[in-house]
Amino acid sequence: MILPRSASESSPPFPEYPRTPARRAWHRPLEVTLSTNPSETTPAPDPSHPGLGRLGADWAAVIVAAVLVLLAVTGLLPSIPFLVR
Amino acid sequence: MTAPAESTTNSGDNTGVPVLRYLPGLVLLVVVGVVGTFAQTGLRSVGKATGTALPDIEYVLWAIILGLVIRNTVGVPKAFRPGVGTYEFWLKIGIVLLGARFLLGDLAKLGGFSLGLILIDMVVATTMILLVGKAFGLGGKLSTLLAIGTSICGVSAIIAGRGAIDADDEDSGYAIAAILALGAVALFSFPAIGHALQLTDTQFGLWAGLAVDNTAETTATGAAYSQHAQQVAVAVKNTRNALIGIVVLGYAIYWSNRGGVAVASGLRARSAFVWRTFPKFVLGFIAVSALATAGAFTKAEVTSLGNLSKWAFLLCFAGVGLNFDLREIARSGVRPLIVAALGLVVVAGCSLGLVLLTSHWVTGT
Repeated sequence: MILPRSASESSPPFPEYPRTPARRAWHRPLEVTLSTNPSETTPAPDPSHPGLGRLGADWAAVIVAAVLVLLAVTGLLPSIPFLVR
Repeated sequence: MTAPAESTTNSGDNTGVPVLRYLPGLVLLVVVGVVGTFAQTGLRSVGKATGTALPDIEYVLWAIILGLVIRNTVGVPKAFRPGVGTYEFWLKIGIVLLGARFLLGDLAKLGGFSLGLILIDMVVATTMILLVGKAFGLGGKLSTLLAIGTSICGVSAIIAGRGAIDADDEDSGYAIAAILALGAVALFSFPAIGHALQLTDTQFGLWAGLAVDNTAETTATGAAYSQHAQQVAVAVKNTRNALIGIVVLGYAIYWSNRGGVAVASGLRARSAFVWRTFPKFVLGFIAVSALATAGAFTKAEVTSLGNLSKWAFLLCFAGVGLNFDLREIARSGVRPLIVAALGLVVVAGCSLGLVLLTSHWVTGT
């Protein structure tokens, strides 16, 4: 859906916030790590792992939780305590 | 809240077994989280034994503070970073499992009620941030990212918005840093304000779910108040999260003729975009709630799933602290922070007013 921007399009309407090399170096890893959106952050699929390599973080979490829920539904989930209250 | 790129890639690692890369950091998350729980129970015991009224600081805050202190004093060594970077994965598992504590009817009631408040907040936050951003000389795209982050879903919405409006890496970095810094402020200030105003658990949960930007901080803020407040906060935040795709699409269309990227016009392409940005763990949360509503779990199983959810959140909270680098936040500059702070204050005030006026409609949820 997102198509490349053409070179003739206008520049942003507001003056840009100043940047420094230190900021430039810092921001790149920040975005890679913190996303909750797998489509934006999942690294390119590793050909050696054709299945799991394509799995997004959201779906991976859902699958892990689904396994635990399945254990509960089938009565196989042991009693899990917590440390507070 | 940053972690180096190594934490998400396979390159440059010295072990051949990918899972082992995460082990040191996971152990650190567990240790910090468990020490946080001991800090809470230990302080309680000391207060009881000595007959003194010590503050009852929740383990959530202890875990975050301990992580924050470690990160900003001795630092997090490289070997620990892949595991420490998994905290959002644990957050999502915790949210899905938390669905076991909700009946679908309550969820629908809460979601429907909060949707109206979210839309009001969204209009207020967007207007405020775009105006103040312009006054402070921020770029239009940076202001847009701050508005997206404040009104919808913090970091994930900013990252989805970055590609959609063709913002550059630095703009999204500034916006993320500002949103994370303010999330930390909200985490410690909201519970204090809530107690001062004597908000009920439902009122506080609604408020945190509406006003705290990032999902991890929203969950932690709710948990710092009470378990019920956390559940309400997560349910409301999930409603906000579900709007990511639609809102980002709206901004993408706006920016497509203003230096953004061209947006395909077909309904199918736009629907695909909304689906791609939709947080899938929300579906898991609803599915588990549906199972609970259908009576698939016994009371003991609901308790165990709830406790598993707490364990997952505990790892997440430890990770929030361990990923929060104050020096890096400071390096991001003051202006985006001021704009986002004003946005947070306005959204928090507006949300609190709305909650106080309308929360009697959902009392008992």
